[in-house]
Formats: sequence, structure tokens, C-alpha cells
Amino acid sequence: MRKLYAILGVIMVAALVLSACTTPTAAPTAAPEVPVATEAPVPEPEPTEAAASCVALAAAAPTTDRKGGWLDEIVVSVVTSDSAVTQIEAGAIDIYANGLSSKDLPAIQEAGLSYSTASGLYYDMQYNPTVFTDENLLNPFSNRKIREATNWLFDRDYINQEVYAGGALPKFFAITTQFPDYADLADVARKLESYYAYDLEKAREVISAEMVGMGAELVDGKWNYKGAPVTLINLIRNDSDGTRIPIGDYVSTQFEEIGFVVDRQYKTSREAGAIWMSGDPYAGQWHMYTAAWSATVLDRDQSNIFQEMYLDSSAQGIPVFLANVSDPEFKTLGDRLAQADFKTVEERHDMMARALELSLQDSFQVFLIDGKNFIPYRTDMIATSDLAAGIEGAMIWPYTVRFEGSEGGTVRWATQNLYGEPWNPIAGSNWAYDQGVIRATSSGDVMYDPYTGLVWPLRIACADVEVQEGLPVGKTLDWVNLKFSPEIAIPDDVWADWDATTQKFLTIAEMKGQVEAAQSQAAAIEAAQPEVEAKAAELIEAFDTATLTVETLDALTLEYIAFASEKYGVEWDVTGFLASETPGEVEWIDANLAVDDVEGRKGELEWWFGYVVDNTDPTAELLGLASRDYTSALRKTTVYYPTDLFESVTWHDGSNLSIADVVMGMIMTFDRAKTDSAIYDPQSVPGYLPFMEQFKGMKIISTDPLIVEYYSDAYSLDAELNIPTLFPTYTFAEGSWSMIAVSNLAEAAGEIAYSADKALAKEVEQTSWIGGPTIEVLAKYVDQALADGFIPYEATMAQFLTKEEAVARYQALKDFYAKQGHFWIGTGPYYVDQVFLTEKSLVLKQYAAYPDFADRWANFGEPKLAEVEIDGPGQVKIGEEAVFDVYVSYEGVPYEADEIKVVKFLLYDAKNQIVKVAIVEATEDGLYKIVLDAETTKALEAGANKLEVAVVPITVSQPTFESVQFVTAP
Amino acid sequence: MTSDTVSEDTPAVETRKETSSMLVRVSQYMGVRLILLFFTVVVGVYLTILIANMGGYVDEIMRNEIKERVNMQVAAMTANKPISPEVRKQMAAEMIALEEERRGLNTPFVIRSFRYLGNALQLKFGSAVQMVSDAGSRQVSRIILERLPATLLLMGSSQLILFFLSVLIALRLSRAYGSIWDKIVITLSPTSSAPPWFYGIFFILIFAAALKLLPFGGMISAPPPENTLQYIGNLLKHLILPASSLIIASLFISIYTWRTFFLIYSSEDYVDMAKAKGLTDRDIERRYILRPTLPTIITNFALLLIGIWTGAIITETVFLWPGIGRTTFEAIGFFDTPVIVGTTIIYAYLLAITVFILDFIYALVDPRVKIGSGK
Repeated sequence: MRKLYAILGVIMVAALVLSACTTPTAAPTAAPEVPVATEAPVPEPEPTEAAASCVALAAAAPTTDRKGGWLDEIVVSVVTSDSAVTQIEAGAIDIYANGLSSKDLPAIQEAGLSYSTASGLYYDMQYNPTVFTDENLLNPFSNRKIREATNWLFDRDYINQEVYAGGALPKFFAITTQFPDYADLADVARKLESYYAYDLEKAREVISAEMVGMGAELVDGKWNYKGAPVTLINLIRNDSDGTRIPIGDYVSTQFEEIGFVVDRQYKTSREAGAIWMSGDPYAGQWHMYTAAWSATVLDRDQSNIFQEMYLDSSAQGIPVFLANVSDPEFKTLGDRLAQADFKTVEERHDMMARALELSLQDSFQVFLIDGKNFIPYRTDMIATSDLAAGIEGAMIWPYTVRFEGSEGGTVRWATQNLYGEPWNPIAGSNWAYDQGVIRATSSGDVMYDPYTGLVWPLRIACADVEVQEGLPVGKTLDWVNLKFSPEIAIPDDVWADWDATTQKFLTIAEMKGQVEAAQSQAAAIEAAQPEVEAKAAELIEAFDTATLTVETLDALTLEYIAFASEKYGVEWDVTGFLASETPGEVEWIDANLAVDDVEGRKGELEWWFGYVVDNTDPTAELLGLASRDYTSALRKTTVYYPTDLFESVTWHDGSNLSIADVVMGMIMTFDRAKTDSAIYDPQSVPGYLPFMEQFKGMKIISTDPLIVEYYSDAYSLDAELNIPTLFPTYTFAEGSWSMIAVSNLAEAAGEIAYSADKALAKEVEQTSWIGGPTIEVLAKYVDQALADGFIPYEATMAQFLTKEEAVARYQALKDFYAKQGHFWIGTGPYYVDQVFLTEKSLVLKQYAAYPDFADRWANFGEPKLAEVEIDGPGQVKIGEEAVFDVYVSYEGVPYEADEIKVVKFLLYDAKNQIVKVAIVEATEDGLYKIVLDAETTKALEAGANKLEVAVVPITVSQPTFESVQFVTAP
Repeated sequence: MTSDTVSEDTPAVETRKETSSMLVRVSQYMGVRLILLFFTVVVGVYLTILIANMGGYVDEIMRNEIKERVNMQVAAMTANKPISPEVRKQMAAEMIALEEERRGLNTPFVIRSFRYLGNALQLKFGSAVQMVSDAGSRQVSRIILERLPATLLLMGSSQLILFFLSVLIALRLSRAYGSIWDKIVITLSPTSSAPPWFYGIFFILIFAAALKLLPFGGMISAPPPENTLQYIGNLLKHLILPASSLIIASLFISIYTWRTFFLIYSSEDYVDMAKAKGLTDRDIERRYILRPTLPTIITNFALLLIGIWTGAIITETVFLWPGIGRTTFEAIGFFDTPVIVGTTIIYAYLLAITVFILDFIYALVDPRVKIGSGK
């Protein structure tokens, strides 16, 4: 027995030691040194004077001498959402940044914690709009009128109160209730919401009439069709946040109430997805589904939402969407909106208003609830929350999170997980919890306004935005200058593309030459097309379909492709594609088409040829190039940076930001998508192609101060959102040119890869700058680059970078790594001090060398939501004038009139019909007078009327509604 | 041995013959046993692959997920841009094809399943489909090795404590049949019907939330202490609640089971005889109860040791313990077959080796057992 105890003891000690051995060596906690100027003078292109017509915003006087973040330290750890509230209560953590769903709101309130809100999921009923193949099955939702009538069937307020404890918002439209488009369309939306308000009897009446029209009859209170009850199959999701079960049950009950039999099928996402998403909608396997979507970015332009959520042209591209036949007006309108086919903001407004109305008539999806997430934290904390993205997803959080009334201290920041994927700025982790932390280490050109979705200059001074006349672009903020021109010509020396072989930018002049060559080759291809098509027909005709095997199909396809390749004059390799696809195709044909079904098989072969061409066509890039036009652009943005940019902004390794960082960012926009590049990655191509369809070029006008011109055919409706990313901020984080160069070296050597796809394909590890197996690889290449004085993309970068400068940067990297044990280097207000991968925690420390004072963004502490009060007569005599005062304030102080975008009123009569909508002008700050003239009151009947006011501020995109009732009497 | 005429060298020849015969017998036994065990491992692992992939149905689920995610990405990338539906469709098709290729969905499941099996049997773990290790690696071996120490610590400490505590107490109770302690244990044994995570939640509420004595979860504080001694202390502090949950959840039923087992032996005549001879309780327990039950105890102990490898799926999840159990849980959620197979094949091999070795250990500790005798 003693021996056994001895063994037990040994195993216990061994396990403890083993665990202790996994402890990463915590790096010293000292802050990186204050930056030292290490750069040699840079040979620059001759600066061209460009006068800025825009005006940089004046900085407010700082209230603190502290720079960087307000806090000394942020300790990030992982906790489960179930215990988050309890842990804050117990003092174990200070904030649960990931957010909790509405069902946790009562617990948060009960615990007395502070909390912020963010957009959560939004919920709707997705209908199957098809006429089922089985003629004995009636699908009521193939009738648009019935779908529309179900809007009256559901009490959205009831759902909000019962399921979401009142913490969500009733929703009628695809557009998000707290986003700018809703604020812009507030009066239209309110009118429609009033019209489609819960009315069970109206729903019953309309649906009954339509059901009878479709041949159904009501037998003993139940709808029957061809002698059998009409049974609606409701796919109710039982996973996710759990709230779709009560929604699905409620909806089912409502349908049962008006005579339907409902088959409630509770399914997980995967089970339901196999039916509603990939199943055949005509097969009658389902009628409705408890869908939910998300909007995690404060989207100022939801023009595409109607196409996205209703039309057969939706990017969803799944069978049920393709099967929805919409009203032609709605279809045209939705597609036009999605393609930004409008000339003015007013035209767009009218189109959106009409689309709102038509979307409810279509009701392919009936929206029910705009859900909310709640982010709980200690009551003595201040945290800025983006209206859509919450705290963790807000770019501004690192600049505003602090303890009330004090500077410094440590915040224990808890989130859902950490290190979801390797961290690198090119194709690294995009998990919300990782990005939340990464935001604290980064800065960038602009700061996203958490309440409006507009942007403010962070590292740029100001910008000129020039757009072609007739485009619906407007501006709100003063730091950007907007002007319209009949045509925006692109100078010939602008960089338009990248040659990965010569490692030089291609200018507009060079691209024009390439386009001409591509156009002539495209013409040749077009001319050869009939011949190639004829060849395909000939091959299919001659093929003996009875002998179909993988080998014969491959041989047939290769013959066809070889012919096309010769005729088009392009190299065309389909071997890899055939190796993976042919067996499946042959299997499918054997399983579905009988051997004697010659026509069927030949038809399938025709499809197969098309499928092979669609997926392997080497002419696509050529044709894309041939269609490009480099003579003019729809937009030109000139970005002006402050004169001290390269002196004041430093990386966490102490190096100064330099022009080489900016140019490296420009190069990396193209290089990974070029097949000739040493770091080519197919994963980058799908996103690169649409970018190149709209990108026209860029030009460094001056390097000190930095001024860059940028040409593109892409534009946003807000001038502020037409600012290109020129600061070295990549898709997933910032990156200094030196770290990018080192990572590129390692990737080119086949040792690591930025993207997961390439890493898997090459059987190497995915690049991570924060820790793990690639750190040592990177360290090796830092040494190599340092020894060689390596200048990446030398043919271009040597103009912006000297060898001495490069060596200094690599040395700084090496020193940083020696001190901190990782390569995560940004320019943000906090730097990563300690990393614990398996323990899933991380320590951020204040970056004292950050150029801005800690209070720079302090005015974004809370959204300036308008508080509205209406004062007026309780009784109005019909035919007499009535005046109502509207007081608009924030925290008791009158709201400045120039911070209010619009104040509108909606007048409802005694039948709850809107009889008048009008804009109200301010008489002074915070005071608006509504005058209902005699003519207006004369139109009202005797009874209780309602006056509703919608106030839409500029500083926050969330409108405030307030109403008052008054009685009219003769 | 029964011959009347025995030459002087006969015993040596006989002995050689016997030795040779025993070697042949043992070799044959080992060979057959190894083949059978390997076959069992192959079947077990292939069944795991089939179950983890729902016979190939998971391919459909993954395709749906890929399609949904890519379509959303494309929708976001092309929102409000004058990009034609055809271009958008092509983008989506390319991205879907890339993702399907990355996950191996362009190869039929049957081929993939045998590839998984072959690699697993050769202990070639390969890359995970979706999961990454905490350090950012997709190598299954790294994912597993990274989590192994945590699981060994939690499961090792809890299961060993549980095992020896149960055996020790059960042995005493078997000698004190019907005593108040015996009755208490019998009364409490149904409490083991509740799983460990159930106790875990209560422990968290009591000791972390209410009393604030112990941490809510995790393996170490954030940030971890830099001093090694403090680190070990902190680790033990985090270990208390999950280990206690695992121990408490099984303690009483385990004692009850062992106590009943020992009771059979402790009521044998030779035990009474030994007692009558005046042997001490300690000697009786060691020589007359533990000795004949040793094969069973060793079997249980050996299986416990390899069971430590698998971790405690839900308990680790409740306590955010970064062990193999939680990794398996995540892998099941992601349908990450290489990771599931990776954890399974190691367990399968360990189990097969243990079963194989146990046969020899039985022969060593129990003279009645002869390897390959067929008895």
C-alpha cells in the first residue's frame, strides 16, 4: 500500500511540475523605451505642392498630461458568459466585454451593474414562397397577400416584453431600427408601423379571403385543402440564444388561432439548415423558419438590404431566395438600390421609402425584433459603446475605458475566448474577442464615430473628396471638403497596379498599354468562341454516353479544353480541377441518369463543360483587364497628413513611423494576389478582384508632409467614408514594414504562411506575431534581415528606405522581441506586455509614447441621445389653431439646433391613421414649435388624436420618439 | 515426468521442451492477442470516424455552413457597389471552392475516411480542419500535447485521490460491515447519480461567488504569477474546485462498489481463520483480502491511468479548464475529425497496450493464471 501511495505522490508531483513547465516566461513589465530617432534622411521624390482646401480640426485643450490610454494596465482573461454577472458582482472581473443576450438583462439589472447596449441578432420569420410540387399540398405563403397579412398577426411588443424582457426593439423592416437609414426614414417607417400594427382580426380577414381564393375551406375552424387540413411546418431553432423557441411557439399559436394546423419542428442550426437552406423549397418540407441575422457594424448605407433580404438576386444565393418571385417594381427598386443606381440623396430617400412599403407587401421575411446585447461592467467604470458593435467591437474603446474620476489603475477585462486563430495583420484572427484586444494596440487614419458610423481624423489632418457630378454624396463634418467635378481625369504617373516580377508599381500609362493589348486578345477570344462552342457540341454528340467513366469523361473534357486553349491562345490547366471533380460528377450521373437516357446524359455533359469552364477559365482575368477604363474615375480623394506624422507616431518597438510603412501597405494591397509573387496566396484573390474592378490608382504627392491622391470608382454616400486606408493598417491589424518584410521572407521560404488556407496547403504553420511555433521562425528571419540589411521590394522601397534605416528597424524589432517575447507591434495607446497562450490571458500596458493625450476622445463618453418633451393643449377645438412646444435636451441642457438633423411630427387621427407629416423648425436651441393650423384641425374628427415627434440628432444616429395625446371636439 | 525409466539428462530435456513449448505457446498467444487487439483498434477508430462524420452527413452540414458564411462575406464585400450578380456569384463560387478544398470536401468521404484511418493507425495526426492550438498551430499533435498537461493534472490528481481514497475506505468498511460509517456511505452512494459538473456549478456558486475563497474557473490567474512556487500554489488553488467536483461526484458510489467487492473476500473462511489466529487487521487486509483481489485492483488502476488521458469533457468546460476534454468538446462541435480521431487513436492504443500487458501482470500476481493456457 505504501508503494501505491508513493506512486500516487510521484504522479502528482510530476503532473504539477509538468503543468508548471508550461508557464511561459513572463517578460519584464517595463514599458518599451521612448522612441529614439534612428532614421537616416530619406531620399524622397520631389515634393509637389498641393494646397489643402480642407481644414484640419483644431485640437481642444487637454485636461490631462497623460498620453496614451487612461489605464495603466488591462488584464484580459476568458470567462464563461454564464458566470460573467456573478464574477463582476464578486469582484473577480470588471467588465464582460463580449456582451450578454437579452435574457441576462434582468440579472444585470438585479446585480446593480452598469451596462452598455449593442446590436444583437435581429429575428424574423422566413417564409417559403414556392408553390409545392405536390398539388395536394397548399402553401399559403406562396400568396404574397397572405405573407403581408401576417404582419398583422404578430404582436411584436408582446414578443419584446415576453421573450426579451422589454430589452429589444420591435422591428418591421429589414433596415436596422437604430441605424441612420431608419432615422432618415423615421416618418415613413412610423406610418407603416402604424398601418401594420398588431390586428388579429384584420389578419384573419385578409388571410381567410385569400385562402378561399386559393381553394381552401374552413371546416370546423380548421383550414382544409383537398380534404386534408392545411398543416404548416414551422422550423423552430432550438439552439443559438434560445429565444427562437418562444418566438416560434408564439407564431405557431397565432397561426393555430386563425385555423391552421402547425407542425412545430424544433431543430438545431445544422438540422434546419439542411432543410430550409439547401433543401428543395418546392418539395414542401417546410413553410416557415425562425431566422435571425446580425448587424455588427453601424452601417450608414443599407441600400442593399432589400435585395439582400427579399429578392432572387440576393447574394444569399440559396434556393429559397432564388424561388421568391417579387413584385416587378420592388425587384427593380431593390436591385437599383443595391447597385447604388441613384443620382441624388433625395432620390435615394424616396426610393428607400418606397422600398420600405413594398418590402412589407412582399414579406418574404417578416421582421419581428431588433435584438440587443448587453455589456455589463462595474458601476465606477466608463466605457464607450458603439451602437452596433458594442464595446469590444468599437474602435474607440481603448481611448475611453477608464475608472470614473481617476487616471491609471488596472481593468480586468473578460471576454468569451482568446487566441481563436493566429494573430497576423494580413489574414490572421478575425474573432471579435481577438480583434477587441488588437484594437487597443492599433491606431489608424481615422476614428469611427460610435454613434453615427461616420469617421473623424485620427492620424490624418483632413481630406479633399472630389466626386463626379451627379453622384449622391454629401458631407456632415467639417474636416472633409467635398466638391463635384464633371470629370475626374487620372494623371498618367499614378500607380494603378503592381508588377510582382519587377517589383515596381505600374503606372496608368503602362496600364493603358496593357488594357489595349488585353482588348485585342479579348476580341480574338470572342471571335473564336463560336468555333469552341461548336467543338463542344461536336464532342458531346460523338461521345458514347454508355461508356461513361472517370477516365472517358476526363479524356473528353481535356480534348475540349485543349481545343479552346489553342483557339483562345491561352494556357489552360484543368487537371487539378478534374482530379477533384470528375469522380463526383460520374457518380452523380450514374446515380441519377439511366444508361439508356442518352439525351439526359448529353445534357448533363453540356452542363459539365460549362461548369469546368466557369471554374477554371484563364481568360476571366484577361477579360477583366480588357474591360478596365483608366482614363477617369468617379472619385478622387486627397488625404493630408500632419507635418509631424513621422516624428510623433512611433511603433511599440520604439521606431518612428516612416513613409516606408505607408508604401509597404500599398504594395501589400496587390502582391499576395499576383501569381508571380513569392508570397502569392490564392486565398487573397477573391477579395482582390472586386477591389481591382473599382480601384483606379494612387499617387504620393509629397512625403513630408505626407499627401496622397487616391482614385477609385467606389464611393460612399458620406464624403467622410470615402477616405482610403493609407496608414499601415491591414485587414486585421497594423503592421510595420519591417515585420511585414520579415514575415514575407519566411513565407517566401515556405516556412510559414499568413492565411490558414495556404498554411494547410503548404503544410506549414500559420504566421502568428503574438506567440506559438512561428515566433522562432520569425526571429530567425529578423536576424537574417538584420545581417543582410534587407530592403524588401527593393526596386520600389529603396526610394523610401535606406539600408541603415532598415538595419535600425530590424534591430528595434530584435530588441523588442528579446524584451517582450513576441512581435505584436502597433502604434496604439496600449502595447502587449505579456502573453499567456494556454492560460488564455494577456496584459496590455499603457503606451506612454503615444502622441495623443488620453482625453482626446473623452467627448464620446456617452451617446448624446435627445430627450424630448411635448407641451400643448389637452383639448383642441376642431377648426381652430393649436400650438405645441417641443423641448429637446440632453442631460437637462437644451440640444443645440445645429446638432439636430431634423425634427418631424406625425399627426394621427382618432382612427390611428396618419393625417399629416411635417418638418418642424427650431425657434431657439432646444425649442421647436408645432403649429396645427385651423385647416389641419378641421380635418380631424372628434376623439382622441396623437401627435408624435421624431427627433434625429446629427451626433447620434438614433432617433428619439415622443408623443402626446389630445382630444378634439367641435 | 511419469516414466519409470528416467535417464539422468531427462529432466533437463524435459525442462527445455517445456520451456520451448511455453515460449511457443506464449508467442502464439501474444501474436493472436496482438492481431485481435489491433483489429479491435481498427474497428473502434473507424467507427469513431464514421460517427464523428455521421456517415458522411457532416459533409453536407459543412457545405451548408461554408455556403452560408461565404455568401454573407460576399454580400458584405460587395454591398452597395456596382458589382453585377454574375461577378458576385463567381466570387462566391471561388471562395466556396477554396474553403471546400481546404476542408477536404472535394474528396469523397469514403476515401477520406480510410485516409483518416490509415493516418491515425500510423499516428500521423496531420492538421486540424478548423481548430487551432492555443499557440496558433493547426497540427493535431500540438493541439493535443498543449492540452495534455492540464488534463493530466486535473484527472490525474482527482482520479488517483478518488481511487486510493475509495479503496482505502472501502477496505475498512468491508471489515466494519453494518457500522454507522458503512450505513452513511450506503446512504450517500445515490448522490453519485449527479455528474461532476453539477457539483461543479454548486461549488462555484458557494466557494467562488458567495464565499470568494476560490476562483471561478481557469487553470491559473490572469496574469499568472511569475514566481514558480507562487505559480504552483495558484495552480493548486484553481485545481481545488474542479478536482473536488470530480472526486465528490464519484466518491460514495466508488467506495460502495469496492466495499461490496471486498466484503465478499473479507467474509471468506480463511479470513475468519486468520482472525481467529490473532493476526492484526492490517495483516488480514494486506494478505488475505488485498492479495486475492489484486488483479481486479490492478485492472481498475490501469484503466484509470489511461482514462486520465481522455479528460472530463463537461467538467473541464464548466471550469474553463484547458484540457483534452474541452478540446474534444470543441472538436465535436466543429466536426473536426482529425482532432477527434487524434484523441481517440491514442486512447485506443493505450487501451490495447494496457489490456495486453495486463494479461502478463495477472500471471505475475496470481499463480493460478497461466498465459496462453486457455484456462
